[in-house]
Parts: sequence; structure tokens; C-alpha cells
Amino acid sequence: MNSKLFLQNPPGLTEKLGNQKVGIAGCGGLGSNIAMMLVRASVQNLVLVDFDTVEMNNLNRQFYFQKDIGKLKTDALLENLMQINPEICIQIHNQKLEKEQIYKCFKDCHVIVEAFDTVEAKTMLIQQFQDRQYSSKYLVAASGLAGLKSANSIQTKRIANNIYVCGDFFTESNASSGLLSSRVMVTAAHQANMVVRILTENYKP
Amino acid sequence: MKIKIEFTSHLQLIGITNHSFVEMDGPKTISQFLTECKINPEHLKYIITTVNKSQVDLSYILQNNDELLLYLPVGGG
Repeated sequence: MNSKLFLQNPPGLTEKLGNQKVGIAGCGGLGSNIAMMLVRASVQNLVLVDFDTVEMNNLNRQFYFQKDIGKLKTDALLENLMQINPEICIQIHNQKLEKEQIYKCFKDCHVIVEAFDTVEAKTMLIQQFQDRQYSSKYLVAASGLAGLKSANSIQTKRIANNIYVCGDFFTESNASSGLLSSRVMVTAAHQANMVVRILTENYKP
Repeated sequence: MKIKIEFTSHLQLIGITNHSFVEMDGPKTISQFLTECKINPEHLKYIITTVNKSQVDLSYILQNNDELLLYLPVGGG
């Protein structure tokens, strides 16, 4: 089945992505769409962490459907990803991620995606990467995806040897800026693309 | 001594231009430097600091020719 599913992938990509594990911290607008894109790209092993449930107001930008309302996001996302590729192997953690649990959750992941919504959580995860035990792992984070600015304002920037950040670095989510699917998806696509590039070593450090 | 500084655009540092070289009168920690630049103390709680592409604490003592990057995430996800 996989051979047909990934027929359009560049040569060799499916084999490279299939053997590696990616962790996603937060399964909202960023995390759910990043997971969707990675599974479509042939990533087979994911670790998903979130404590929230799907609500109606998530459906404007997150990879969930009417049927998912009220379910845990991790459970709903697992179901929806299986609709793309039933052969994927997904580990889920229904919990609010505290810094003491981060390494344990993502121990086997080569790349971890920061897909949180609050500044506090984003900072907490990035700060962990100062510890030597993360030196062989990569973090792909996000900052600045709200509002209606040009999609071209969103970029991927390397801020440390093993940390990349995607977004416009400026536009925060609040009542006036809102969260629009197109800009959230552009940022999520930047993150997913960076993950694929890291996993295939198709980038310049 | 001289350092190169870059910071996310919603940070405001008095007297410092983004993507510029800053002359310093002697070694000081990042925390001391940012306090002198009158950074919003609330931002200090969440700021990520890297020097020459390695993440460091605010207690890091800046050296000549260091490249300091200050990253403050904004909410949304």
C-alpha cells in the first residue's frame, strides 16, 4: 500500500522518513496540521502530546472535523492520520507537558516540533535544548502566525545549532489579530518542511 | 570590545539598533547588558539567548566578537 501512497515522493525519501521518529508538542492549529503533512510525506513514527479536547472553534484551522468535537485531540488526530495511512505507528500522551517529562516523552525522537500556543510553554520547551542530553536532537519551533499579513512574511530561521523557528516572529495571537487557517497552515508547512529537510539531511547547518 | 546583536523586532532595547555592532566598555553578562538597555523586565522571563548559535543563560559573560541573538516567542499556535 505504501508504495502507491508515496509514489509522488522524491526518490529515496520514503525510505529515509519511514525509519525516523518525530515528536509533536501540541496538537492544535500547528501540531495537527504538521502531523498531517508529515504523514502525507511518509513519516511513519510520531509521538503526539496534548491535553486538550476538540472544540467547534478549532475547526477553522485545525485538522479535525465535526465528528471529533469533544474527543481528546490526540485520540482524534490519531484517527484522522490513520485515514491517510493506516500503517503509521503513533504514540500518544494525553497530558499537559511539564519540563520534567519532555525528555522522557521524546527520548527516541530525532526531531521535536514545538507547536504550543502560549509564550510560557514555547519558552519552556526551547530552554530544555540548552541541556546536553538534547544535543543530538533538533527542535523546530514557531512564533508569529496570527493576523492577516502577507504569507511572505513567514520564514524559517535557524536561531541555534539545533533550533529552527518558523513564523513572522512578530504577530501574536489576540482578540484583534485572530488566527486564520491560511497563515497557520503556512507556518505549519514551514515547520513540516524543515522537519523533512532535517530528517533527510537536506539542509546546510 | 565589540559584539554583534540581533533581536526579534518586538523587543525594544534603548540605544541599540537591530542587526548592529555594539561597543562595550568591558565584559558584562547578558543580563547586565539587557538591564542597561532597559529591556522590559517581563520579557526577561521568556527570552531565549544564543551566542554564536549556542543557547546560553543570561549569566553568560559576553566576549569580544560574540554574536548575540535575542529571541522572544509570541503566542499563537
